[in-house]
Amino acid sequence: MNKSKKIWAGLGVLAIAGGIAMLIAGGLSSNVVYFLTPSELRAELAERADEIVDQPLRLGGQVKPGSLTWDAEALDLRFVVADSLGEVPVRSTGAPPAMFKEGIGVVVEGRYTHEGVFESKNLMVKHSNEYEPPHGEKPEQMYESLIKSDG
Amino acid sequence: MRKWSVVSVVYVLALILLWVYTGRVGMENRSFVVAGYGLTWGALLWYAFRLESRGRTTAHAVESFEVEVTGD
Amino acid sequence: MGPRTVVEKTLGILALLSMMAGSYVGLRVVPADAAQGNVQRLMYVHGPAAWLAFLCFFIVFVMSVLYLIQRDERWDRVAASSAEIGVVFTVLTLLLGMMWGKATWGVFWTWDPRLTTTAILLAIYVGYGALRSFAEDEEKRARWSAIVGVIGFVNVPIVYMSVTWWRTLHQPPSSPRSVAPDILWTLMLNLAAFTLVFAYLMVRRIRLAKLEGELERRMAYNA
Repeated sequence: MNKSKKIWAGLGVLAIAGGIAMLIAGGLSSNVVYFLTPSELRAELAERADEIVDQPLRLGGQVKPGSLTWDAEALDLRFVVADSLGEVPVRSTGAPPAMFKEGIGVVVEGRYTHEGVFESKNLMVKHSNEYEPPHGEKPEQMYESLIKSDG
Repeated sequence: MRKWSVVSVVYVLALILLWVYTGRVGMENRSFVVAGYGLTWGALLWYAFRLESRGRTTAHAVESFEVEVTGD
Repeated sequence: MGPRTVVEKTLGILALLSMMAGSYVGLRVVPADAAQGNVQRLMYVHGPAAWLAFLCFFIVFVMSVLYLIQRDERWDRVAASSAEIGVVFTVLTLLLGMMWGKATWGVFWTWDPRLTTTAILLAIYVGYGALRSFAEDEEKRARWSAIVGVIGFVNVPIVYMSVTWWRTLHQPPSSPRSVAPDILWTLMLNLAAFTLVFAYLMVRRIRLAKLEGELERRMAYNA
């Protein structure tokens, strides 16, 4: 067996072992929590604020309708992430993803600060598993309009 | 000209056509769409041709041993 | 590998034509999703690629079990071929998912359970391939890789269920109820096309595996 083959073999065995170890350690356990909901974050803050505040974490929920303000000049975006039981105000800088709007699901990466605001470093938008064409437009009509716009 | 070079030319032409077409209909996010379909076609065609070339190489290697083995 | 048989040629042509039809309908005929816009068209290649990756690794699993029972090298060759094609589809799934994710979620990557378990899936079958290239004894290689092919498959249902079991950024699986008919049919057309591509690649890859086995035998005989 030559040297490069040995390196590949080592990498291969590492990858398999690492993959299976990750599965057992992280993947298979039921407490895989990708994000906290607003009410969970509130509960955590009430219980052990000093361990949670200013620590990197993910917050996931719905952008509360009516809570969105966007200062285009300062690139300052503020909104409230809510679930049925709790709310957390979020501040983000920079333009959000195109699908971002009130009522949509989001996952925000950042820190909950001493000022009581969740400072976002990374704003991600969820989309559903529902897909439908725009209302009132049949595929044939769409097809025709595409051909027309070609000419 | 080898078959894969003909296919490569057709592939590139099709990508350019798709880019022009999506531009003319004003498709938003077209760079993602064109890149995605381009990647799909590119990867599958590449793999299919890669299999053929591996097959040729292996076949040559097998033939180089032919004389010694036929006796068994 | 020798010239393609009639079956292989037919399969190749059908695969090519159905892929062309799938891409044409996906890009031009079907209307885009109302919420996401045109970038949703990536679903027609991302979804089928993921399904085919699952199918490939399921075949690896079945062939590995068969090999461990019967010790027939044919099963080993099919497993090896299916694993390699599965890696191609997994890489495709991940890259297409990254593009779709960037345009909708706003990020190429995040360590949510679906993406993480899919990355592990890739690692397992890349490892499977590396293991094969490292083991020189044919029988040992077949046995070891069959064991990995069985154990590694554990991850496939985990990847599939990850969006149901855990909180993710990735959406749950689509169903006929959650997808409008036009979009569903386009998805099915592309799934059929991808399956034909897979079938063509499989028969060619198994041929190559046979040839490689023959080469190994001759090299051993002449050594």
